[in-house]
Amino acid sequence: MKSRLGRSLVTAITIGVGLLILANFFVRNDLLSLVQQTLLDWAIILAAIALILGVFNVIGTHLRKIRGRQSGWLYSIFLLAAMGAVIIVGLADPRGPASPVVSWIFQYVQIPLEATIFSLLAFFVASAAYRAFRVRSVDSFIMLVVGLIVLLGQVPIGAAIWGKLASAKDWLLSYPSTGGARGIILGAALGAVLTGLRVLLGVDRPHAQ
Amino acid sequence: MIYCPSCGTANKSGSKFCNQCGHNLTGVSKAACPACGAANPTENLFCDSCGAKLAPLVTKGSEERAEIKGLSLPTKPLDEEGQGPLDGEEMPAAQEEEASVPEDTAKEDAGLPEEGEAEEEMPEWLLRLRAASPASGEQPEESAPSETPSPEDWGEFPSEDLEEADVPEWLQQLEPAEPMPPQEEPSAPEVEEGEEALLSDVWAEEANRDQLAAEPAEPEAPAPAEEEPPALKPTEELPQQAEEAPGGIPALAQPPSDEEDLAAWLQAEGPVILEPDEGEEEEEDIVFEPRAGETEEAPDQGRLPSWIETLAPEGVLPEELGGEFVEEGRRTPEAMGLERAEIPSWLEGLRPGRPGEQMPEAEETVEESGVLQGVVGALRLVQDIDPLPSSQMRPMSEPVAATPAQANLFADLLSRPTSSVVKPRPVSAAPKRERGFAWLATLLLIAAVLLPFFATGLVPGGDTVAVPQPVSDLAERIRDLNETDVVLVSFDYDPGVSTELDWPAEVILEDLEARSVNLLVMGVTPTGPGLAARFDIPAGEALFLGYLPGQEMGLQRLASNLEGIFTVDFFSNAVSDAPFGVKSLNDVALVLTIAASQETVRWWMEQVGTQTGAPPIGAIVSAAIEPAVRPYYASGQIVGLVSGWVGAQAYEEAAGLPASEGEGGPAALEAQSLAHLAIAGLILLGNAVYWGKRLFGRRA
Repeated sequence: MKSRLGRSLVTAITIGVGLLILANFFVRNDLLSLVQQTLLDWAIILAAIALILGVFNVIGTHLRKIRGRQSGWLYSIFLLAAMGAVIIVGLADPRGPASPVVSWIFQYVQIPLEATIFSLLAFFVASAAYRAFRVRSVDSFIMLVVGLIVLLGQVPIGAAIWGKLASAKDWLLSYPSTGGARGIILGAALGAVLTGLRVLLGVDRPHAQ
Repeated sequence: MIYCPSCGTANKSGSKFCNQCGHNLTGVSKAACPACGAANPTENLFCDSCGAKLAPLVTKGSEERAEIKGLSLPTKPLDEEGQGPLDGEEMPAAQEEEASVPEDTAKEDAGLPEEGEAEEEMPEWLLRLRAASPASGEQPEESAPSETPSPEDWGEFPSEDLEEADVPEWLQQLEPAEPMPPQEEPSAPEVEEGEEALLSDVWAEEANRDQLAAEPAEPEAPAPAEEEPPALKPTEELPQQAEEAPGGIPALAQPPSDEEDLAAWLQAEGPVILEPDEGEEEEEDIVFEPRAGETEEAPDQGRLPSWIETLAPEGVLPEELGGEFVEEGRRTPEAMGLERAEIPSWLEGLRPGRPGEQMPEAEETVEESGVLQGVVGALRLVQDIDPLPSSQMRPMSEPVAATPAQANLFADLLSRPTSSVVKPRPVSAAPKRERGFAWLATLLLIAAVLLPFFATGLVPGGDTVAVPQPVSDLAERIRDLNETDVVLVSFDYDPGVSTELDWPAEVILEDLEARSVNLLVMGVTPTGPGLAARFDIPAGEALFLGYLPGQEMGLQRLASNLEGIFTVDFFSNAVSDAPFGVKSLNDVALVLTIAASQETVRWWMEQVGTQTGAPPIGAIVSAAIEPAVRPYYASGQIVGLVSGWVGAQAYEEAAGLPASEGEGGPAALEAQSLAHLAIAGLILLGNAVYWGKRLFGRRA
């Protein structure tokens, strides 16, 4: 009984807050705007706290991994050591993330590492292009032709190969591709509206799970 | 009873399902003995044939379950229990039958064939017991433990099974004594070296015979109670006893004529009588009566009690213990070349105690589990009754002639080195051709990327691109800005795609700086402000707001009221000290989002672009998400769009900026062009190989 009352109370709060935020889009009212801004500030603070909780979660996960000598536990040691070093340096300097040490670590350690990992994607694409883009049907043939046009029309060499390749690429992106992408966006928007309505009507209660 | 094999609960006989757990009991009918293999009823705790503990010995878990269910194990001492109920009940059996049972057993012990008439001479209760035990006839006769009836059988022989009429008067007068403390475990008496083996053998035979015949010879022991335990009879007496018994076996002595003398003799010399306590369960609370003559003197060495003498079969006793026992014409085991085996250790516990005998200290065992947990000595004789492990009880098979040869051959095969070496499978399951192609693609891509940096001009027209309409629109929008306008630039990408987006961002910032507009720099990703801080932006013309948490909610808050969100900037300076004040997005002339994810672009479109009086939004995105962002441009929600390196190059041309040098510029575009060309070539090559295989494969 108590839990049912609690769930009902949470659902009522959720619906009320959602309606207040929604009403501010349709009605110009200073009180509504103030309430909306206050609630949004709370949400932003909670999101920032969630980041801190995420840090603690990462620490706990890797500590368990080290304690249990699980696979890759040595990497967890390096991760925790690097994270601790950056946090200590950032907290020690009153300038925070703008401190020269943190900026140096960010620019010369994090950015090159992430960019390197992302660049490896090109080699996977090259290897997969040989095996995946095989013409087995008419559909795959159309996909192959469109892919080649966009691939070569995106770069200057496309114009050197065929003068109208860039224009063909623009046409493909402006009409067929935009049509498909717009359909996806509209579908996602309708899904978001439906989900919002279900939450506002109390049908879905993701907050109570 | 049927014991559930799943939970150990005792169920009524004939039950099809366990009343505790519902386990199907229809298939539970027989249980194989782990020692001798005889089939036993499932309710047996001990084997009918050899007395070995059945299910509880198989697994410890089953034993515990059986104990947990409160079923006490009928672990009565073999010697005493055999004497208890049988002693009291069988004593009244006919005098003629008393001699027949030892005779039959003696013949078995001597290895003689069992005679058919011996069964007829068995007492009635033994015949019933035999009939009730289905596996009794299946046990090999030569197995010593097979002659030991199970305690279960003894439990099926309660005193109420016999009518009082079966009990002779002289035995009815024997009132059961009060419960006495358990008798100490018997120990071997001090005997001379030559007699020890013989005594052990006799005691073993006696113990076995006690279990089956329940000491039928006790009444005929004529020795009075106050006398010393009877020794071997003089040679003149034994033949006389043999004459009185049929079959030539030494006859049992007649019971004393005086009943008082008989009672005294039974207490002093006879086996121990077991009497259960009143009000308690018979199986669990058996009190062993000690002998009345515990304080009596020990028997003389080399002398056996008379009741043991009467049990001795013909020709068993050696001459030093009474050669008169040896019937004429029959050979002793020694004469037949047979050695007498020492009494096994497990039979020591079965040996009956003797008056005045020094008993060893009984090792008190404490039950560790079950309903008897913590009870000391409750099941102390279990160890003595339990047979040896089945592996030790199995008789050793006689090797046949072919066995050594086969064993030698097997050992020889094992000692030979293996002729073939097991080759490990290759680590990669991919065929060599595939792995070679992967290396070819990698090398081709590396060459295509690096080559333009060493030799420019490989791609004709590689330094010029056509300016797309979205790029020119954005350049036009920026060109129209005034010096007092405020432009909000949001760095919403991660370091992973910084290689692709740094160049467009640099180009845009350069153009904005050239227009001398005021900049608000922020990011909706945690790493965005850090990426923005790398660009050389004049501090007097820009305000680094830093990271805006909350994603969509943060942008909604930003759109509704920008003031108050940021109190300090990225460099920990107060926002209120900024050279230009911005209270809301309505004061911003243009918003530029530099994104590598369509999600962040969508946030800007939904949370900011829908606000009344929201500023126009332009997007600088990676080439990968351009198709997903294009609909916003087509619908007018985005005023301009720059995509990747090509977009940056096009923006330079559209804005009239000088060509970039270093990382960006013609060399980067040529490298990108060659890389795209290489990938397109690999796609075509793959299809050519694929179709070549299909076409030529069909023809082949």
